[in-house]
Amino acid sequence: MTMNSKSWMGLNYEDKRRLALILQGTSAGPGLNINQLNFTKDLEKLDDEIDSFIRMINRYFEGILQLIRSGNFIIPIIINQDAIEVKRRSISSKVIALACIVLLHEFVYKHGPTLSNLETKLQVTNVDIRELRQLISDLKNLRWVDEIEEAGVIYYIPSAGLKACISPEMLITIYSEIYIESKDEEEKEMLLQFFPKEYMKIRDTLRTGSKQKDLANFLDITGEKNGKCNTD
Amino acid sequence: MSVSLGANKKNEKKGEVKENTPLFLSESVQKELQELIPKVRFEEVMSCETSEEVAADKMILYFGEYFNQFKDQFTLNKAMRILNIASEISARGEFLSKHTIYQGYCQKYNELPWDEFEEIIKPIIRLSSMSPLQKTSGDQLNFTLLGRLLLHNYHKLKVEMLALKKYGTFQDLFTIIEDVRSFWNYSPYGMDIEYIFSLTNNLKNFTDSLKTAGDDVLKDEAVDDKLKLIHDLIDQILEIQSSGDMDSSNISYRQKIHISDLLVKAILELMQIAKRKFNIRLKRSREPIFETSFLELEKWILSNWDKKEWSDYFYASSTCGTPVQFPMRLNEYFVKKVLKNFIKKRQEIEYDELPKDIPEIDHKPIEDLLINEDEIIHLKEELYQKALTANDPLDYKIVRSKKPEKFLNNLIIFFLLASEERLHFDEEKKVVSIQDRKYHVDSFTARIFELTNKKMENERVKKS
Repeated sequence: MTMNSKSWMGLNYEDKRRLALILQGTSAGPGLNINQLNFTKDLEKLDDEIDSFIRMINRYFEGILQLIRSGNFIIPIIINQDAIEVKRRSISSKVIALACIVLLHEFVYKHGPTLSNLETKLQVTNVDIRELRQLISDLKNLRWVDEIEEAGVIYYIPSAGLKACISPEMLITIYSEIYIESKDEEEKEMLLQFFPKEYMKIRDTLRTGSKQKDLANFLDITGEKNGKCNTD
Repeated sequence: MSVSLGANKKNEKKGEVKENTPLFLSESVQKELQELIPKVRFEEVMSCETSEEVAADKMILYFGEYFNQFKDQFTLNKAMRILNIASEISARGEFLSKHTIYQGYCQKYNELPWDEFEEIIKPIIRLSSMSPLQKTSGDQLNFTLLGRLLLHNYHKLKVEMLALKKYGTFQDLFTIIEDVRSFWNYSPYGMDIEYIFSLTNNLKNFTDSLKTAGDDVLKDEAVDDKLKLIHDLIDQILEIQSSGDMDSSNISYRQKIHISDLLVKAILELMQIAKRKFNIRLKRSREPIFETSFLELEKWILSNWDKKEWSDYFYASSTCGTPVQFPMRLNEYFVKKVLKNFIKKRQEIEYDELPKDIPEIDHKPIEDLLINEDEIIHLKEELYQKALTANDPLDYKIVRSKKPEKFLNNLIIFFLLASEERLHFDEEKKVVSIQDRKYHVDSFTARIFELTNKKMENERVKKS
């Protein structure tokens, strides 16, 4: 085991173990609570350690697997339309639509919707309260919403995972369908301007940055590896 | 008399002037009106397509359903009293529950046995927000939008019914108000002549009915004055319009704007009086309006909820992500594509782009940095040979390994080989070795990898 611990570029045994656990998830859904991942117990350093772990993994598996931290969870996501073979069964159409609604609600009102907010919105559709609850629990299973209770009212907060998965491009595609006749490029630009900064930031961390940045990070990883190898 | 003038002209002029004679309003008046009257087009009222229209119709359905809950007029009346108490309590921001409503009820109206109270309140309490009183948590109730709608419409209907019973027909007043509402709603920049005729007739009927029955209203001189003024103004407009083409005459055009401003003001004042007298609400209270595109987007999604396949949008976007568990279902094509990009990107990195403050790596190729562990090179060599000799295509399914760790190791091996450009991708997107194009690295298997992995450990153990 000790022999195996320092190998494969920057990924040591502990990192690989963590990543494997995260990929495995639990019966409750994808991702794992950070408490189960053996990070440092020093609370001041904890965030930094998690951040550097996530950054390293994301750099390493760029284009294949990306990790996103959402509250106490680290969730693996795959960003690509043809990455998974059985994708059609993985997330239902209505869950995606509801995810968009929850996200848009937060964009407009600066806080997540409540159950009755969603119910009022969905009056327009044929979704009844029972189905809505089912859809919400699906969202929770995907770790796309976090429940927060305040004064007896439950708010559904779109998680970092949701923001990472529902891309601005998708919203713009939908939006451009509204303007299908005029094909108004300016309208699309408008929508982009309105996206909250935090949302765009999450997207940026997942997508490849500039070459320079890429390279610097790349060297960081390899540098770390070299150091470890030398001491070995 | 002035009214009959208008009525006569209706038959003569209607056909001619109808089309090209919008009456223009000054901006300030338009603004004033917009605040007072919600902009709803008649087409919208008569359709059920957009999300708002559907929601409105659904509210009306529920509205009817809840009115149906009460078996007789007395129960209805008591239920409305209950709702009234509930609305007062919730307006004060106090705790709303069955008991507080009961207390309020007994204070304000006659004592009511608890059993009877419970029987009346039972059908209007549900868990859904589409019930007048929504049960939230524990005993707490929420006075909902539907409750407000029920109560508000009960008031409105009752006023109209009472007026009908008491004074004969007051219908005309409501028709006038509806007409005025329509004027400004149908055409945002002016009014259609047709509505002026209908307004004239309604005003005439209204005055008639006031004179015959409505003592209370008639005593108010303001109403009479306003009605006279309105009739007068309408006649003036009709005269201008009958005098011919307004567009060519600047004077009549300006006159027209002036008159229509006056007319609108007079109608507004009449409506204010009517509002005072009959408790008619014209102004719609709305939640704060956020006119960003997101609301529009949301509305569109909701109104196309069942019509569109949303997962198509989702998967069609190359940047959409899926939270994964056991991501062993990554497909072969995808892995190859990513590796191809990976190689491409490494090739694109120009060494003179390196940050200058790290001199050590200036002359070192990045690949060297990646693979200067001799052991690994040796192992990879071996692995590579194994990969070349195995050619059972089914064995490629390593990516589907049920063990995340194995899956990871496999991916890492692929990445290492790719970063050294030991993998070559031809046009047909097949993974082929550089040395010999006959062999496909597709047959890179979990089984083989496991072997080499064991071997690697064995060798390490031996060395140490």
